[in-house]
Amino acid sequence: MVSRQRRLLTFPAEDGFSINGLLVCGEFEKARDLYDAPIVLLIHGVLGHFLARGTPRLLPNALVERGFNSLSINTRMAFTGQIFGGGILDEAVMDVDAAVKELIKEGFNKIIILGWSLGANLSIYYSVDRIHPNVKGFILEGCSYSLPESNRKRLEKWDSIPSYDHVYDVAKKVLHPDPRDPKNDRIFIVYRAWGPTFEPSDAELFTYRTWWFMRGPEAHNAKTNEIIKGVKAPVLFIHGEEDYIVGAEEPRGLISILNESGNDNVDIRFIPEARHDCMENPDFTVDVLVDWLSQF
Amino acid sequence: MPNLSQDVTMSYMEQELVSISFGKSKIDGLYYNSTVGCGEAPKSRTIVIHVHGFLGNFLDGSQRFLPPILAGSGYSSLAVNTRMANFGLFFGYGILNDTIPQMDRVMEYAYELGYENIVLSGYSLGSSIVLRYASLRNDLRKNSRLKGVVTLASPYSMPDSIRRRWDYFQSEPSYEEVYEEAKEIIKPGKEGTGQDRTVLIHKARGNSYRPEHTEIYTYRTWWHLAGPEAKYAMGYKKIGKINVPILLIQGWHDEVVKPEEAHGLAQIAIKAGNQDVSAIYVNAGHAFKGKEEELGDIIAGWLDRRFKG
Repeated sequence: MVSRQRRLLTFPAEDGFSINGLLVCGEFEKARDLYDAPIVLLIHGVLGHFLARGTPRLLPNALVERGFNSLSINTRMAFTGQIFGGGILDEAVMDVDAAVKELIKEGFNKIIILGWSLGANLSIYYSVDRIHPNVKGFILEGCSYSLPESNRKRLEKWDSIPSYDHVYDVAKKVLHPDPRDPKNDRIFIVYRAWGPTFEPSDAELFTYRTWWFMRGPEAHNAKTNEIIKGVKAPVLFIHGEEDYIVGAEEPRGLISILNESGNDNVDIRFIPEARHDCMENPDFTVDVLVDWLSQF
Repeated sequence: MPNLSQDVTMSYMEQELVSISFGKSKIDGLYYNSTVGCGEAPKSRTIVIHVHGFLGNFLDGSQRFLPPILAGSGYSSLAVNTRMANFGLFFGYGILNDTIPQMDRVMEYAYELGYENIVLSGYSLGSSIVLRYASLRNDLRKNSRLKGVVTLASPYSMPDSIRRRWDYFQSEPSYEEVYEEAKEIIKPGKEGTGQDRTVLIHKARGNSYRPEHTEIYTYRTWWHLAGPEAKYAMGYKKIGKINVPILLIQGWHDEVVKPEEAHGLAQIAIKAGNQDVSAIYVNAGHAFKGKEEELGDIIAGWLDRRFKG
């Protein structure tokens, strides 16, 4: 008998970054049963982590009740990563890769990656950059069409200070000649980035480098619409019907691209009474996920 | 990763993520249950509650490396995230005095776990929380479970420490400029009116504009932690009211808190009549890097002399 487990794990990415993760596994008759069952690898959203409210916090316990294991990780973009300079999207792919390798090393052979919001875009970048055959599918929750485009639209909507274009102009100067070089990087605030006030809850914080690689016009790997055609594995989009951060047209646009590129194993489910966080309607969301995961 | 198909646990402790109910919200924590003494010898009834530093949480720093060391000596730990963890200072809700009800609940939770001797340990900013809490809950008839306080890299006064550091590096904006702006934004009558905003302080921790030398607050969180009127963050005003054993540990090469600050705090506690005050210096910087085992041994020895046998 393999007993039920809930463990905090720590393991390194290939560049030495230390990844924390929460592993939640159910009870199984034999070890083989444990490793043959699908395991969901959860990737958090902006400023998120595995204890952040919503999907990262609630889903592992809900899934294990229905017989599905999970590993929820803190990438280098967790917590203050994007604010203090460590959260470079192009490098965070190493964290997803390290988590996949840890699971494979343990013996899991059916890994499903679930990315929430920013985590969804990061998951897609992983899938086209370095996917492993044991990764069998992707669940993308609240996935935006393109992180740079999403940021530009939002800043324009709220008439942010500074504007998107101004941030870009300054970023080019600060990071010249090589955006990969951190020596001149610095933190900046965008007021009125999430709403119409100057209050802290409507502000957004980045360094010029983290913005450049996640939100800037040259953040190629964050432009999910331009890279998603390389995804050949099954994909399920889940999207809150009342999501006001990412519009319903965004995942629909991504599905069109996937279909045009020959991937027909793509589905989308809208979650009623949920906004950007589908676990605002936990029963419906978990039913959808369990139904889809059962194919594995 | 552990081999999941086998029931492998560390021989001297069990680790569990906990969510402590707190009104309509939760306090997240990592509980390290020492299993040393679970055989014939009685298990220790002493637990150490660890409180994080500036922007910290229970996954990093001393809150992460101390509990396993202490568990090896038979002491359980509970490392918690207060409302000042992570982004609390950036988004306006990380107010030091608002951690008091959270700490009350954490103390209660530790007792519910079966611990009768509770020692509070705070690192840097966390030491300000711990000193404030222990000074407020100093009536031993009502707070008999609080048995000791450990501070690591504790500033004599958080506002003075921050002002001195900003002046030294010629921060932009200066301490006085932030104070003048904060007075306008959060002066009486303006609290809760939506006037607060996030502010960056460049060159606050070093002589450059780089992210690691920058600090971030809202005017409100700054006012209550770093402003000249942040009395709850002034450790020297609190430590004299604490009447349980105190251990102050300080790095000689601390780049944030000066060694004499621990000496000053100890003197005030002793002069106030506390008979059990120790200050110990470690050949380390602010984060005690490379001295983790030594730090753990010092605390375990201090606990042994007071709670073992």
